[in-house]
Amino acid sequence: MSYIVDRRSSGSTGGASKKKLMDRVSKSIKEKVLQDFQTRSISDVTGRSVSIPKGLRQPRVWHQSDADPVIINNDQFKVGDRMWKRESGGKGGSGQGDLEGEMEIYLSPEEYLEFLFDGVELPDLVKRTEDQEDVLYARAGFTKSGVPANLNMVRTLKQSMVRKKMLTGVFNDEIAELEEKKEKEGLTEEEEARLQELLEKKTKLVFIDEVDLRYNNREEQPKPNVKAVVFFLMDCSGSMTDDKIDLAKRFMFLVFLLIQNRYKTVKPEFILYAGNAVRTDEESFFNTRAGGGTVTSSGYELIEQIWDAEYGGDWNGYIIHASDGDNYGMDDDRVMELVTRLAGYMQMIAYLEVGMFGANELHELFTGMALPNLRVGSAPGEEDVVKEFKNMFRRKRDAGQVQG
Amino acid sequence: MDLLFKDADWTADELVNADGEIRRIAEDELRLETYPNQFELITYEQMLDAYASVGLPVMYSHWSFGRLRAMEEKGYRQGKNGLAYELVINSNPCVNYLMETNTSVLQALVIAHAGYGHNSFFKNNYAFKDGVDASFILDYLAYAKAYVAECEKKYGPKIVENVLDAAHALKDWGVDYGKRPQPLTKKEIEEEEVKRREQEARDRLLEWEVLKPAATSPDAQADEEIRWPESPEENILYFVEKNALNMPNWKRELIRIVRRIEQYLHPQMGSKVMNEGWATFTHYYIMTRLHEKGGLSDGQYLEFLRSHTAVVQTRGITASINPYHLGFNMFTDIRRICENPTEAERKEFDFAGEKDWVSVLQYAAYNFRDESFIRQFLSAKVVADMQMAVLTDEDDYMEISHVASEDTYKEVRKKLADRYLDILRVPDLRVYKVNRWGDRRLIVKRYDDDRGKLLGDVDLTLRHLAYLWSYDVELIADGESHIAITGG
Repeated sequence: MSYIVDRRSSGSTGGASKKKLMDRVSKSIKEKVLQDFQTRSISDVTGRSVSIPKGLRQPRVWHQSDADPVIINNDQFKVGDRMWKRESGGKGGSGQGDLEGEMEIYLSPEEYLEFLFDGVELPDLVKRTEDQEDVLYARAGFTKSGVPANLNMVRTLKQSMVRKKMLTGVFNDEIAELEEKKEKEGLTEEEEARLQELLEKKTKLVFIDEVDLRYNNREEQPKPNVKAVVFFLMDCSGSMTDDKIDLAKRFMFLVFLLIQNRYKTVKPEFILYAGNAVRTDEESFFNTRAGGGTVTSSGYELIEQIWDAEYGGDWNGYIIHASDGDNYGMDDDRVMELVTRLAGYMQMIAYLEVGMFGANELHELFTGMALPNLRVGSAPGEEDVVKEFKNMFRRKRDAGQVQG
Repeated sequence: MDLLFKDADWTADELVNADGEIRRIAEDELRLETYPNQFELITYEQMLDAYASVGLPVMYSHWSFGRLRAMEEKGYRQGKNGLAYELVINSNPCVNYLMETNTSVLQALVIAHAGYGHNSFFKNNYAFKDGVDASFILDYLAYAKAYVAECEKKYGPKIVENVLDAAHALKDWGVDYGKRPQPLTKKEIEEEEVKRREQEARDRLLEWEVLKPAATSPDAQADEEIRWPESPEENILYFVEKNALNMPNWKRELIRIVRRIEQYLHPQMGSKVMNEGWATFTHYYIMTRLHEKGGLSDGQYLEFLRSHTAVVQTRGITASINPYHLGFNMFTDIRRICENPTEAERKEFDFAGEKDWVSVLQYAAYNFRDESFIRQFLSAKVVADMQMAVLTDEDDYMEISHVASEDTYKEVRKKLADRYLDILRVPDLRVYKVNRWGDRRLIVKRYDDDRGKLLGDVDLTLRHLAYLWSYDVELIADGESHIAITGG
């Protein structure tokens, strides 16, 4: 007799042992992750294999084999042919070969992040996105109940007219009948009373009755989250040191992950600015430094140009801006104007000030603008990146904000 | 017979039906006796878990299993190992895993291979029958997992890890070779046993403490002359578990868990070629018969053949021989020798020409292990077909000393059997003596110095032993003395 048991729902149990393994080598995994992050593309959100060191194995003792090995599939060697030995002892072929070298361990994107941000508790990216699904309120006919703000006057009056027409119609028929009788043969006292009642009722018909009320109906429909473009905007003036760029890169990576979870296609665009702005590829984005002043508006101008020329329409736009907050004083008004306008068609603009204690110019400027979809943060050091990320991307409801 | 499966997808009903047809062939034609089968549908992640826990479905957690799992997972991602095949637990009932992503043909193949091939091998091969108690392994593993987790909670994960690391390092010397182990029992009974052993240990410690004379007294000198243990103990872990002086009982229980699981796994080491060969022969026979009887379409049978061929090959010139490959070839050839022997084979094998080939195959499968199986049954034809050759070690280089031929196949066969014997042998280390009344040093001696030199992490392993013993440990091997000092 055989039995079939469906065990699939009980899930995987390998996590505990993998966790122990990673705890054991967390230091070297962390090193490897940091190294990897230096060169990795922020728009690549897959998991990673990192190699972990020798010595991570259980010790073994064996003895040198004195039995001659037998090989198979020998289609070329003859008796007397010689082969030189490789440098390794061991009881060859017993399947322990991999014990000596480094091995690779696969880190899921979540595990990777945990090492990158050193155990800081990260927001649950996937879950958030389900909650944060953008919605459109689309018209869907009319309802008989609703809030006064949604009252549809035209519809309501139509209903009222129809009702009055119908009711007077009923009354008119009876009145005409009674009046005709009155002329021909006169009415009984009872009929006369009925006629007066009807005439009175006819004039007293309510202008708008409760049954006439019609409200606009709106239904939540998920907004088609299909395509998004993310503008990475970074200050590349001389004051942006490697440390600051590293902070910016971490932040951008996190934000990109978050956005990437919500759309089928996400296109990154990289814009650098100092005295003026250039569109560039990812590699130069993190490796270019320019001298001269810092004219932030040039970056936003270029974004607007690119947006108008290549995106718009059904694209969802995001701007992720990182800078140490310096700006050419005369430029502030222009920045405000551009950001206000761009905020109108972007899903979100996020600004992170990196490597500065206290708020610098841009931080003050943006905070003062108080636009609902302009998120502002400041990360003086590594550990602040995640904290600021969490603050800036807190659920809309928690934050009590409405997003346009 | 109607087609067992409509298409590549399967339903539970189809699986039940296919199992019935497969069992009919297994029982009527191959006369297989098996444990009842329990087929478990699992995901690929669960399959990875099981692979990583040395093939056991429930396992206590330890980083080394995480390491294995990471390696399997990487292989899987790279498409190196299909994981499509089977995983089966030597237990009663016999637990077989069917991965959900397998096609219907693969499921039939796995049912035949594991559910009837391996299953009958577990039930009837002497090494499993006499060496392992299959009844309660799953219960025992669940107990072990819970016990380890409990210890981690009580004493902290780090110290539990240290004990397990040490016990794992010594697990080759935690097996009773040739002795039938105590049967594994149900969880409740196991827990009662723990209590009993704890009392036992308390009594023994008392004895150590109370009877301890001053190390300098003449009596002590005399006592040291009496060796303890009286005869060298080959199960080092067992000895430490029973006799370590400064060891809390939960540590003893952890060692015992490692020991017993190793004991359970041990017969599998010496019979990979036979076990896989037998299961592969079984699935090949059954799948072919299903096709002949109309249960598999031509297309489905072709799909099966593709999978089968991939399993029974070894690529390139190599000394790591795929056990499926060698085992399948040998069993297939034993059947041929029954049905269609050459003149030479009639002289060499007394079963040549035997009409009842099923009996001959069962005899071969059930009464040997890899080494003796090869010595008895490897024929000139298989040696030639597999293009075997012997390499001889000339220190700096290896030289081909024999290639397959009429005259040399017996020598090749002997060398191959020796090789399988050698793989099985762990260095013969035994507890030689404990300085019971002196510094309590544990002295381990190697008893097969005539074999090759000890290799690997000798000192590290010794340190693990010293950690468990909690006094100094000495190893005398290859004319040298290695010493691990506690606290060092």
